Amino acid sequence: MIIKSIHLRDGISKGDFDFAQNTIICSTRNKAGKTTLLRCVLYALGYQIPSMKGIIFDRLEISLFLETDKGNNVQIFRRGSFAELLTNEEELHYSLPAQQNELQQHIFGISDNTILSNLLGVFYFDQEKGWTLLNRGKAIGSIHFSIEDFLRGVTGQPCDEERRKLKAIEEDIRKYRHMLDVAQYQLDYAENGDTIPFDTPAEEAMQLILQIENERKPLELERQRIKKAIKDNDAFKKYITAMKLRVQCACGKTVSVSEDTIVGLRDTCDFLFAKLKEVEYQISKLDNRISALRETQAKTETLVTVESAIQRFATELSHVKIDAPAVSRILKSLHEQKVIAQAAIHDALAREEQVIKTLTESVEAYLAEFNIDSKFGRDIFTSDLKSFSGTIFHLQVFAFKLSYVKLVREKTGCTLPLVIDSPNGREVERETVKKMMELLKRDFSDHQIIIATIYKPDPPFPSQAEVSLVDGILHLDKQNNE
Amino acid sequence: MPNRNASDAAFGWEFQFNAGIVIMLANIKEAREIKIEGNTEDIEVYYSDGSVTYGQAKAGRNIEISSLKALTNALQTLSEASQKPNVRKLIFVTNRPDPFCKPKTILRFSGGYSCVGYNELPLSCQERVSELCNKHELVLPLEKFSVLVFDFSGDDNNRYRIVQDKIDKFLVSLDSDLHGFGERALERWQQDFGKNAAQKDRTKTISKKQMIWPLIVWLCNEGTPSWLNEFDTAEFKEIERRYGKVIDVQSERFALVSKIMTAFDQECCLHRDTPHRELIKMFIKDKNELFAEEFDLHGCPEEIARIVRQLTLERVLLERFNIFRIREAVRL
Repeated sequence: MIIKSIHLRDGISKGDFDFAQNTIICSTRNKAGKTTLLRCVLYALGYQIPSMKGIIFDRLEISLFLETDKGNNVQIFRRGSFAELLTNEEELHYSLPAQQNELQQHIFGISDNTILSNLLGVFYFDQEKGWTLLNRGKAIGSIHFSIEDFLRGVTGQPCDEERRKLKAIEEDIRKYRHMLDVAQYQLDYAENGDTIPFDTPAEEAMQLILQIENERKPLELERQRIKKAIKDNDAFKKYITAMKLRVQCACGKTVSVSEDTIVGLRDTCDFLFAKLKEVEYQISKLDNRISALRETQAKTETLVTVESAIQRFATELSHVKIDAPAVSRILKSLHEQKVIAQAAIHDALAREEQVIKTLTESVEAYLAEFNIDSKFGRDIFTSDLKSFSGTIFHLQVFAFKLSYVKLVREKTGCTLPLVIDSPNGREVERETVKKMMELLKRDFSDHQIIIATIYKPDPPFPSQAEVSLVDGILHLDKQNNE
Repeated sequence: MPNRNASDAAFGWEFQFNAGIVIMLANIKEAREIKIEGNTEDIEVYYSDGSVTYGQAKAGRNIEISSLKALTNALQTLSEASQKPNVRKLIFVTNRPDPFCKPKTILRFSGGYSCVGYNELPLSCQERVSELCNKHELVLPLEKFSVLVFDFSGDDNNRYRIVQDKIDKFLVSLDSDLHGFGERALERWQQDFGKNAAQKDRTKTISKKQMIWPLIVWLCNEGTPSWLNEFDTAEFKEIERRYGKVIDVQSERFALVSKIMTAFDQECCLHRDTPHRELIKMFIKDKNELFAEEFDLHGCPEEIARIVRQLTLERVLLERFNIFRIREAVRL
């Protein structure tokens, strides 16, 4: 795959850059835009690259022209989460990052998502993180590389069940760590002599309001019931009195049947009315309390808003009961489980002896060329990075990555570009860098090599193109502006 | 310079409506309604026979300072009130134990509560009243004049000590089961009387009905009295809890209440010699089936339905029993 050119636009500013098989992005000073330009290329390839000082990627309109390994010319247009891939035959649209893998399948011609997810760590040497990324870690931003995942993809050994298990364990570990952090926070708070504040007056008022409202509910139902009873009795009274009945007493006296002469009716009505009043009195008492509490709440809410976020946070935390020793025990156990799960994946990969052997031999061979003891390449799964430092580590990373690129080419046929930012490093001697360049020329002549550097390779790469930067990658588009 | 201390004014206003409670309770049998801050006087009690008692309340924060001015003003307004028709009594109400500014008579009024008619007043007090009436040319029917002195001092609830005591005694006189409702009654009546005092419409009164009916409700809500404890077992309690709504609705339905009361009256006629309480128990136990059709308890086992009916009968009879007793006691 060859990146041919990139065209950037940010409002009235723009930048156009052409690339050749071997391209050196150079400037005589730092902060001229070399790294920014490289990252723009990666952004155009669909990666979620964090913005840099002075440039916000999401605001850019980027067109990247490239030639795939199959010889197809492709144009990628990206703006924010929208990406468009144009070929002679088709026009495809992608929403990023959700469809990142689909876009990159077209670009790199690799169908395995596990490889694609780890690919940036393979071909990109980031100025900051790239030269410390040996076999696990971040390629840039939140884009990870893991040798285990990479090899799983390359060997077609998915280990799905083991991965799921490991992911679940890691997720649990993350959560339990947060719990321990909370426990530590509570402890620190206590040790500093601060008592974790419980509810603020406004929150206390709110809780009381809820409590009173709960007390109020049955009373309200009672009120409705009594009102209905009064209404029903009233209807009964009207029904009886509407008949205009007259009855004769034992003494012979005639009495009209009315509200006043129906025995017990008035008592029943008065009693119900008194019951209603009693319930309403209770309700009004509760309502008065609610009103007073709402006033308190309104008054103190102002105080709450000026209360520090830390205090509010501490208040919330005060409700959380954490058994720190128990959490520590659980964490310890989870770490043990994690080691077992990782070992299971490792064992599955270890069965792919040939691939591991190839990769190990490649790393050892490159290290040998730099006169570095082969022990630094013997265990490609090493986690012990503490003993590595300085130039050896720099070259070790270089050897590992070149070996990864070779493996990808061997297994997928994809000729990845090598995007290398600042190969010199801080402590690497010019002679060593020269050797690195020679190695690239010898073994990766089929690959596009893009290097951002202050020091131009000497001797230069064959057909080397240069992109010289002075003060950034974007300049006022005079033609459009006039 | 007049004292315009709002706190003093609030104190006087509070004394006024608390005095209204005390006077109303003292006259509860004959009184029909009361007005605080009436058109004529601070306190106006209206009776069923159409007569009216007027009360003039004069309170002092410091009860040790007697006030001749307060007495003079009270006599002046009571004198004016005496010109109204149907005057039953004219009461000078105060919290000062020396209401007539005759220190030697202080013991007569310092017992916490004393209500004394003109004829029973110490001579020096009678002379003081006559002296002021003459001086200010006041016409005052002395046979209707009396003085009510009760302790109303301090800043906390102790201020209501005498009012509370009067209420407690009144409640127990109505029904021993009302013992314990004193504070609730004080709170309720203070609120009602205070509201009434603040009402602009000076014709709005507090009726005896308004004062007494809450007591009947409280009494009926009190639960089963001890003499009916055979209907107060755990089983009855559980069924009452489960079927409470049915019992509420049925006991409030006048059509059923009337049927129950008519049937009970017939029982009373048949068993004239049986004590009332015994009759109620018998009726609940033996006659509940008469009302089975009134209850819509589909699928409910008969044993439970029977208890629901019994609880309803108990509720209706007790309510009527309580209503009758309290109404009789206060002539409501």
